Amino acid sequence: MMSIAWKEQLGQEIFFFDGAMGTMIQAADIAVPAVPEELNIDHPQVIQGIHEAFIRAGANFITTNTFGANRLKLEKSRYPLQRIINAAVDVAHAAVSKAGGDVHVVYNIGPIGAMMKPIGSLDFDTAYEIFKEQVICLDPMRIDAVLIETMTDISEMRAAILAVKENSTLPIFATMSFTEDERTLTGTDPETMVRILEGLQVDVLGVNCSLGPVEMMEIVNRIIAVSKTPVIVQANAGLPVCIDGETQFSLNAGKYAMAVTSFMEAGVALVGGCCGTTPEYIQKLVEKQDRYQPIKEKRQSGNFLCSSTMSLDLDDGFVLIGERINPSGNKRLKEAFKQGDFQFATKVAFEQIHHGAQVLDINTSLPQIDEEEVMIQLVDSFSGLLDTPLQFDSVKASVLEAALRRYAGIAIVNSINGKQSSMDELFPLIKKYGAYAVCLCLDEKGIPHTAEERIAIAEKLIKNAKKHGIPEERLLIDALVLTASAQQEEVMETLKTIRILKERYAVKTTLGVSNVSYGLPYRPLINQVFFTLALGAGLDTAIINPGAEGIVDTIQAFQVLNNQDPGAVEYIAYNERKKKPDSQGKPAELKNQDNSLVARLLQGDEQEVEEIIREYLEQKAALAVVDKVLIPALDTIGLQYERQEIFLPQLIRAAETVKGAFELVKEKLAKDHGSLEPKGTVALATVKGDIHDIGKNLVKIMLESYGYRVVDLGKDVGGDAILTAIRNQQIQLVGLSALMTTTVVGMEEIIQAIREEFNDVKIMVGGAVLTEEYAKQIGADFYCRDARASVLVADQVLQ
Amino acid sequence: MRIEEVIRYLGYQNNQVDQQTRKRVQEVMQIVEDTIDPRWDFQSFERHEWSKNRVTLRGLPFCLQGESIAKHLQDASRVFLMAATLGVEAERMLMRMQAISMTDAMILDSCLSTYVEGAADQCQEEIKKLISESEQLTFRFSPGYGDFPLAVHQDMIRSLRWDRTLGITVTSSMMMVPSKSVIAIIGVEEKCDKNKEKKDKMPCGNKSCEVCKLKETCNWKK
Repeated sequence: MMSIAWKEQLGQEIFFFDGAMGTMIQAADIAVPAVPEELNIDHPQVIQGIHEAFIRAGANFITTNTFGANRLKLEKSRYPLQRIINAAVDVAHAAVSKAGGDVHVVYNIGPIGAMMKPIGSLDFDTAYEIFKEQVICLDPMRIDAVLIETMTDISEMRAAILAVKENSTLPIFATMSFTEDERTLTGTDPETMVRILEGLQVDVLGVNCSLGPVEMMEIVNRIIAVSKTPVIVQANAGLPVCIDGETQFSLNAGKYAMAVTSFMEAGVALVGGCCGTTPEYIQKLVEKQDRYQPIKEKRQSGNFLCSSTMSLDLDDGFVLIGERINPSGNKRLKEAFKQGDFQFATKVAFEQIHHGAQVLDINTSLPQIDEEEVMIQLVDSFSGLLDTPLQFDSVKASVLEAALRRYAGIAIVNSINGKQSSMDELFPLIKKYGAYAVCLCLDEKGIPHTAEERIAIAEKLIKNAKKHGIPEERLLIDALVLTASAQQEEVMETLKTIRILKERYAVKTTLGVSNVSYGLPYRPLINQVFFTLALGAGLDTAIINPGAEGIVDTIQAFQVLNNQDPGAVEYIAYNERKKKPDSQGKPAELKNQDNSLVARLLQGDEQEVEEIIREYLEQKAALAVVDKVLIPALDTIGLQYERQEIFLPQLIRAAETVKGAFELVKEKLAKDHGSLEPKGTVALATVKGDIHDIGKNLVKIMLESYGYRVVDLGKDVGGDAILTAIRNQQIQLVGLSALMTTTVVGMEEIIQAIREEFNDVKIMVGGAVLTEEYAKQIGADFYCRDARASVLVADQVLQ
Repeated sequence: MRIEEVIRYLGYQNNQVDQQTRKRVQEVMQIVEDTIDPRWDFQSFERHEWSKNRVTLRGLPFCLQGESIAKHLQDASRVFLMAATLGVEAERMLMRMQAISMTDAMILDSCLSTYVEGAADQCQEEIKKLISESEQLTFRFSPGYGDFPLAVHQDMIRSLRWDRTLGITVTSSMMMVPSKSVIAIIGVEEKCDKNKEKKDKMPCGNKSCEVCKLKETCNWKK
């Protein structure tokens, strides 16, 4: 029975889903196998009976018994995926034929069962493939829709949605599970979920599992309040209670139906049941259907950028976009990218957030690197670290798509311009991924002189976006800043363009401010005044260095004057913070009278250490300061550690503190046209399968403090990446860490691979499970029992 | 959370810790307690079959392999499977902290390890309330101890649905994610003279291997 009419009726009348397959299987008189999907083949009559019971109870949609039918969960199954899926669909259709009625078969996709990167080791592409494998098994003539359910990670949910969208034309129902703190287990709130799912244009969205209808009410209300898409709710039969060691649920069918009617009152379009709900529960719901209708009024969804853990309202005052993750104009970042080190970018990200950046622009264009690869690495690592939404900055569509695809949020693309080729290439991406776009007022003819001409290009962009189904609110028009020193008469044209755009359209505006002062003295002053004028003209966002003099000051003051900071509360708090510089220093009661370099290093007193080193640099040659002052101080600290007078945290604190001193030495040498050559290069990696890298990172700090260059290959690293690094980066020493017995096997393989290709590279190993003996056994040259030991090994190998 | 425990994780004996580190430990402990909500879950099963290297529990599709777990459960009529976790937020905190300060990251790591052990203790306290006067609990026995294979993590997580309820998963190398998680098996046995010797902790009397001097050679070690 395949009537297509239900799609038109979606959101017009209430539909009913079935209840809990798992609960029904548990209650059946059969042994539950480790892979419940095998029952589709081994006991089809049991599964068919469950489907039939739900159909008789009044369900309009039944979901196939395929929740765990994925490569990972079927590893130990006797049957291939295709066979399990076919059997599941067959059995559902058999039930529909027998029980009759206008019932639709929905293919069920559950979570993979592994954690996505960067927290876990499952990467986006693998997750996508695992979902795709299921989708291509489906016969679209026998399935009405796909339900992706019980997802706790929005990133995994996106991979599943894209796999269905790109490999079928089936409607998508997407539901996530929330905990009692109204977030998913990986930290997504209901509104952010709605925005990200609507960005990917699912057909139905909602919530299932984890909670009963009472505990879910607030989450459902929050979803309904912002969703333009029909909402589905499938709650558990209350909360689990353990009775005589048996898990049961707290609500009976009558109470459950009472509670669920409040969802129907609130306007959900579809209801069904999750854990603990039997056909009786669904029947009680269906009995109430005539009284309710889904919500019909159109929601005002607003304009939000999202990370996986927060939404940023673009309509709520000025938004500051940090520009500093860009290798052009940042030598340190350029070096780091070339070496495959993404830690420095993380530091730059944190600094900008600290200064007040609300969005971070990421640009990875550098001729010598694989731009797309670096972009992917940064998107992956930032998504675990930062709540801040991102803006992807590239001239290559492939790089932008790679970033949009993986990013578990709603991002900005930087940038599209008025050239037809640019619009044709990029607007489809903006549409597909639900992103926002920076649109430059230039086209084939270059940057126009007058405001009117720029408006004309903006209008062309707006019109083209609409053709692709993108509302103008999603465009951030950049009226383009020209330098006052070269095109003085056009500076005000930019501001005029902003004013006119804001009067005529609902678009947002943005600018790259600092260009205006290029070639003039005292640039910050020019920037600040121009920025102030632009704010007055109605500028919504700016791409800027948030740490630059006066920028955040200007924003804070402007928001008071523009009546966006009621009672100047924000401004006063900001002023308080400014008065108190970050007390990274020591609390007063710990002030120590010992002001030697060693004592200062141990206390982590960066400013004092830098003072001391500055004085030395005035008296001695820079290299002598390293060899005669810094290294001896570190050696003293190392000995104290060995004598157990101090312990690891103090050792590491000293190693972190010495970094600033080395920077001073480098500056001095650079002035004298010299440079500080590293003592040698060490590659470090946490081996494949191991995703904890704290030990490896401690080793890195120690080695760097002694002046070694460290190539940090990260965690979960296989042999190939290590061999490539050795080939390309003059590595003389490799450090490998493994935490568990299961990963030492991989360590041994890596050591063998290194030995086969290079006979002059030394290998040191460390980690919780290793011992001196064990290290010898797997063929390592050195065993390091702690981070300090790695320095002694490096000294021995590289001196 | 007891500060002494955190300090031991960091490698100090309590009297050796410098004032600055102690103060920072206190601050980080506070942050952890304010921001991380531990979650846990447990379920009880009847012991079904027992042999000296294999135990099965009624209603579970997998068995517990190995002499160590069999010995551990030899007097247990019932068995609790439990899991406790600090969740993804703890993992993110640790990543962030490593990007900012490794010294703080070390301290945080120790705080989190202590905190998750504490959560497991609380879970065990709840279990204790469910047993009768005449019964006692064995200590918590985790996959990886002795010859009890780590692979059982995966079976336990799937059967008890801890991936759904607690968000605990394992990698292909059987490493738990989030890492600050504990999965353990506790037996319920009759109080009697024979069982008196057993303590409510590791057979060595220690609570944690990381701070143990014998960790290099210990058979019980994870």
